[in-house]
Amino acid sequence: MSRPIINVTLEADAWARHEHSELITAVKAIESAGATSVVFEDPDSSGGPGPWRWEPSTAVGALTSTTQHIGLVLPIASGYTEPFTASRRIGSLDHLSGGRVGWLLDPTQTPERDARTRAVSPDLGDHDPLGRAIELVEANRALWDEWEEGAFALDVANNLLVDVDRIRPANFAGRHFRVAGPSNLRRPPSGNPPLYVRVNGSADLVLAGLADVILAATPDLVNQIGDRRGRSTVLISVAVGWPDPQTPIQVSGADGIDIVVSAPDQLEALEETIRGVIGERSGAVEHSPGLRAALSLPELRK
Amino acid sequence: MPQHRQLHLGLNLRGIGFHGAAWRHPDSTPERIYDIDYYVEIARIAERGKFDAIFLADVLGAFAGDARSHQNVVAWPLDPFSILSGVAAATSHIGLIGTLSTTYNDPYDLARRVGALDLLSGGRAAVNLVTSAGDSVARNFGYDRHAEHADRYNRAHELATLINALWDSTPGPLEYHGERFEVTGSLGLEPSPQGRPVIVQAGASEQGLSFAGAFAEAVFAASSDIPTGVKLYDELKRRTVAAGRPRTDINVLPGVVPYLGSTEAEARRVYDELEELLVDEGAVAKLGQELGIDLTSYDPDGPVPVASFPAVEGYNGSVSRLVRLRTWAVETQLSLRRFAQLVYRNLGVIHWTPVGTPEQIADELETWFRAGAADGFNILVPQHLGQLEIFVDHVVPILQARGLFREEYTSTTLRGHLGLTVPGARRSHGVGA
Repeated sequence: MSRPIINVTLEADAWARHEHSELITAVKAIESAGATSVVFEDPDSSGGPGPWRWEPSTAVGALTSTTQHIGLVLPIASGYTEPFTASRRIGSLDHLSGGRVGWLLDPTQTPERDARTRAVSPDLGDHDPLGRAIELVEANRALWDEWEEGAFALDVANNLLVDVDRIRPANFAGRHFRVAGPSNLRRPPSGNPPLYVRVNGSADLVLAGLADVILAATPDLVNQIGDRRGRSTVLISVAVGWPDPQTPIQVSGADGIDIVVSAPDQLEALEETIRGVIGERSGAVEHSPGLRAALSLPELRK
Repeated sequence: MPQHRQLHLGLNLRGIGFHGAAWRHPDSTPERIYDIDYYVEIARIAERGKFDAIFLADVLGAFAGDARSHQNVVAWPLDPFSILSGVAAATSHIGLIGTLSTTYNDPYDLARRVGALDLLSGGRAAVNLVTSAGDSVARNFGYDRHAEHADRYNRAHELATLINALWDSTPGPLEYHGERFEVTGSLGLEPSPQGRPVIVQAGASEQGLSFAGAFAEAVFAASSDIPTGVKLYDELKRRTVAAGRPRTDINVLPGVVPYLGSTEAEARRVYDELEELLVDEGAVAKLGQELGIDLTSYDPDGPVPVASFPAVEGYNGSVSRLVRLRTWAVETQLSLRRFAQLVYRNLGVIHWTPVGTPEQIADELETWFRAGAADGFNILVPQHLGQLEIFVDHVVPILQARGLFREEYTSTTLRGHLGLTVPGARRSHGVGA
């Protein structure tokens, strides 16, 4: 039996007063304790107390050069971005980290957030946050598939740095987005950086159908995910310090656990919880083939 | 602090180097351009050389311009702020300048990304604001056509005003109601360690110069000789003062592509070796594609048909580049073939390209600096890493020995390195730690 998959979610509000450097230190500790990946929640989405001293994509960028093994999961607010920007940001970080980046889809739109930011692209559809989120996933994946293997040719003899014939524009046209492509982003090392979706209720099951990794709030929801499980890795969420972390995994039949950190002083307890899951098999997870492999997800090759 | 003026050095970091054939040279490692460690290594070399900053350009599509061809493919592919965040965490002093489009970014997201890099780096972040060019970029963002030049700059003006307000908006809230943007709320980020991130600009069209005068604190200029350099320098300073800012609050940094060797013959060998690797893949046709005209019907050994170049009015590519190409064609009096080859040799950038020993290059930099053509330079390295190391280990010490360049960093912020005013006394009683 392979060791259970462990994700750690850093709740945004818990890190309100912390700087990037403290976040880096925390993630390094989480990496050496043996977690597979770490999810950053976006302070901008939480609406919690500011001013903040960090921002998720900047933190993930900083962690590409300061960590070696752990998966880094970036929140993407589908209501406030568009496929070209989102796919390139996630894909760039995946390249720089050697295939360790995933993304957490956040479909929520609020009036407070609408009042300060919006996407640049015209939204072609009606106000439909869920539909827009689904389409962002489809468009991102289409953009990541534009560059075939070998498109970055580096063929010195034939003077071919990039083989343009191996780049096929996505020409994505949906209800919310139109993106012609091609992007300048070479296919990310993981093919598709894994998509994480949080399932807090049955309304979230639609998005779960698209996910590579599902973070389920309760064992009951793991059951409801049902036959969608075949394609995804399902993790059951528990709070730090959960006395017997093996039990929720066994009861729900999940592939592993999502440990939610809600306060920075929980780090020591977090390491204890991780040890409770993996026992003596502790230590950083080395997933040289990338985050997809560490999550037991199928390889994606074009 | 030295009493006399010192020059500034920026590194225009394009991973494969600026010579069009650099990636084919046996000493190059183009496969590393996707690896954060490569950028960290380069930035640390520049930091060893006490450079003010590294700079990353950007294009929002696979091709520079609307033509889809091998020659036009973009060879600097990753999101600049992703790279700079990784570099920030592994460096301590060097400034970090990334490019973002004013046309295809929302002010809030733009201000937040730059502001966050500024916090991560302890006040070393800057944004190079560009308006982008070409319909192919527009189609990546749901539009059929790229906005007209004047519209783009109107948007850029409003966006720059707004991002400055957002950077100042803590604790907020900010109420902004403009022609294009409405923002109610705060950026939600801690104030910048350097007062505000630095704004950089590069365009040299009429609107570009006006934008620079109003907002830019550093300008990447493209002048290929001293007289044009002096003219642009004076114009930028004049516009800055006219906009009510101190003359010293804009740093004019012409680009230079130095080819270095320990002797003149060695430098020439470096240059020739790269030149020999260059395959002329229809540079004339490529120039025609870029300008949107057919140049293949002209005699390649005849003069550059400048009269057939498009007019500035209605041109939707980079107007400053169009003007520069025209001027350069007239100045150099080269054949069409030779001119087109020269344009694309350095990955299509039109810059001053001296070849010589560290002493000779230092002499040239000093001459430009003393002639009033530059506050410093943006160094475009023809080939990484070798040519950068020669610059850092051999040109920089000469400049230091002449008192023209800092021996050590005297500040930890980019604003400090560049000698810029720290905006707003409000910062002195900012939110405590």
